[in-house]
Amino acid sequence: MTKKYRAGIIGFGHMHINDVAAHYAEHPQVEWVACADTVPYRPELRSAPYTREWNLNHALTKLGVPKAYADYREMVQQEEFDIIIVTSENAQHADVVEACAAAGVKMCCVEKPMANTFSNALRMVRACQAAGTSLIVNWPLTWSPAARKAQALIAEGLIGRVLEVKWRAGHTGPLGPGAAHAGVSETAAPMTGPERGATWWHQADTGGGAMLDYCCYGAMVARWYIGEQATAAIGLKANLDSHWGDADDNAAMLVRFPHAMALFEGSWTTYDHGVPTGPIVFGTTGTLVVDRKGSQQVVRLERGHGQTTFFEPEPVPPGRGDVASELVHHFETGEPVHITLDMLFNLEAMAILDAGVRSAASGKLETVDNATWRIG
Amino acid sequence: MSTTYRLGVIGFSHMHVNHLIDEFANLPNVEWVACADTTPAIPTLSAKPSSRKANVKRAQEKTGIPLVYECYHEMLEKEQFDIIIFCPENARHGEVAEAIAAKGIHMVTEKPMSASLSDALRMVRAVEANQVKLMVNWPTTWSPAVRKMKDLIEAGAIGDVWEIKWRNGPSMGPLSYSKGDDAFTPAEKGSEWWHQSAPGGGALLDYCCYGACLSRWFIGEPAVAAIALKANMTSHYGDADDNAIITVRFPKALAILEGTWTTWHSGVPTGPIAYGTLGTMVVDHRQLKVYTTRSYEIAEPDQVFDGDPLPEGRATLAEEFIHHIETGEPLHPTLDMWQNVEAMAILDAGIRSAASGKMELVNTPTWCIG
Repeated sequence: MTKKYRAGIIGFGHMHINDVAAHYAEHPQVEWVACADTVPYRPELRSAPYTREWNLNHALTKLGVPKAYADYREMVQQEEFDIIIVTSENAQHADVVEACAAAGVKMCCVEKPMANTFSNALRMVRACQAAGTSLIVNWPLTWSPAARKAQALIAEGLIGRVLEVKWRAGHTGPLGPGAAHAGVSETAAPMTGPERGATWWHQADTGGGAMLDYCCYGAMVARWYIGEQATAAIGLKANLDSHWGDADDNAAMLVRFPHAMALFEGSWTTYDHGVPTGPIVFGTTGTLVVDRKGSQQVVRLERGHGQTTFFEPEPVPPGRGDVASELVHHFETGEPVHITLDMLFNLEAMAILDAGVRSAASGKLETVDNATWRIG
Repeated sequence: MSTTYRLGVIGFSHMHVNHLIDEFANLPNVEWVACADTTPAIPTLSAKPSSRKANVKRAQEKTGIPLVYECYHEMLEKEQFDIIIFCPENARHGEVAEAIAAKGIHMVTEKPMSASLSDALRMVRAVEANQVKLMVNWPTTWSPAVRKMKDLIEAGAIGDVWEIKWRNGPSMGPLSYSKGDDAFTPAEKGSEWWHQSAPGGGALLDYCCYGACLSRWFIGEPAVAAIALKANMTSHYGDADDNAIITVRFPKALAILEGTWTTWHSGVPTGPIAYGTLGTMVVDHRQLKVYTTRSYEIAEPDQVFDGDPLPEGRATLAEEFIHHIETGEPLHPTLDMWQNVEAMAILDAGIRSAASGKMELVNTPTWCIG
């Protein structure tokens, strides 16, 4: 008999829920139990595609989630869950995961970034380790065959030793003009500045802002490709064109690894990047670009003097092609999840991001912490 | 077969040169060729025991080194050497190592490797470019009790090590050992490089370096960052520090490294001390004491070790270096060039921190520019 996994959702602040929940809804071994939003720090002004109210309604009406609780704490007490998807605002990840772990949820599947601070990420790890709850962090980039192909080629030594990893990500903002997020056909409705400013995305204390939203990918991918932990980071946050909120709409981080460096950019004010954004990996014997050839994602190798080679990525292994399948596979076989989803790997990626956040505040190079060096 | 090694010496400012010379003189197959001191930036006022002038004289008279050159560059041009011992001022290790390497000569220096990570990397570049060998000697390497401590750490005797502490034994400074008529006056002390900052004098370089070497070795991975403090408590005849403390951050451990030139009596055992999750180890003079029983009362150690005899044929710094040259086997890790670069990186972060007042990162060659 095929086991069914009881799934729920906490938090609709992050519109990635639409895509993530769609994969769960499609999976034959997942059955929905219930969902609940977190309580936003400030009321929102508008229900439009990708806002929290809209995302919640989408889950209830289109994805078959049978009911919504007003209070997620009540929900985890009343219901039994194998998996809770956590897609709340970044600053509430730790509260939600603690509540889930205390209630005996078997696994929390937190959407990137792991948390808004390294301290909160450690809270999540402590709670899960104490309760025996599994914790994974989902990244859209994990499901990119080209990103995986690039990592495999680096590990084979195709470009020698990695010297630098670059990553730029951005668009016109999570709720910006024409924004299109996976999982639903709707695109962002035109929203006024104050309406966007009322969402958590544009508020600093909720864990909004472009650095957490986009530099996080760079932290993850650089840690993954370079293969060891970073040492220190310098970060810069700017609010160039989103003054109806107090969060950054552009950010950059320079990261120091023991023998390599990395540069991450995140932007919410970019109509078009103009150039390929990567990840780009500079090695001692070549450069790899995760790029597009027509509509196809490819990995491009440059050896200089016009010596270009394209690598077609292999599809992600069958039955492990999306987060829902990967987690069911993990439950069924006991095999580890993909490294980029792993809790302790993500703790290191979060430590890099956290150093960037602290540096943007201090104006100084900040060390990348680990559990030994993070007090409070 | 017995090769005869032609030996020379450059730099007599560090009085450990006397011990290095003695150890090589104990070998049956060495031939002393010549020696030369470096020229101090400030003329010294004394030839009392342990001064650079006295050290040169000792090499001539006791060891019988036949030729003394005024200029080491001239000596390197005119004479042939297989091995050179160099103990100039710490800040000149880079310059001297470059000159020795350029002649294709193997070399041995005394701790610390240099006065900065930049200089240490100059030495590495010169050594690698000329394919010669470099050993950095540490007196603590030749302590059986210290080696036993590392063996027991590796064997898990005190669990995971989360702190290393080291403070040098009682010292009133490098020039405090001669008595009576031979005692240095304050002005004479101040005229020797030890008490001058520019040539790499001071207690931080002289003594915290041991802690950097030992903590890197015992903890088994490179350090991350350091915070440090230098003070001149009672040695105002010079501008160097006579006391220093470095607090070092390793990925999952910390270290406290103390150097002092003003301590009459240490009061307590000074270590190295290793704190682990399951016990504590202390090197107390020549013995290793292991404490694994928890107790608030004054307790005898659970185990006491004198340490094992040093390996035959590798029991002295001179034997070790010759063994390395002849067999190609690695040096003891504490003497190895690259591990010394990592120890030097800790010390260098401490020096920068004492100047900046901030925590400073421990650099790798990737991050040491200039």
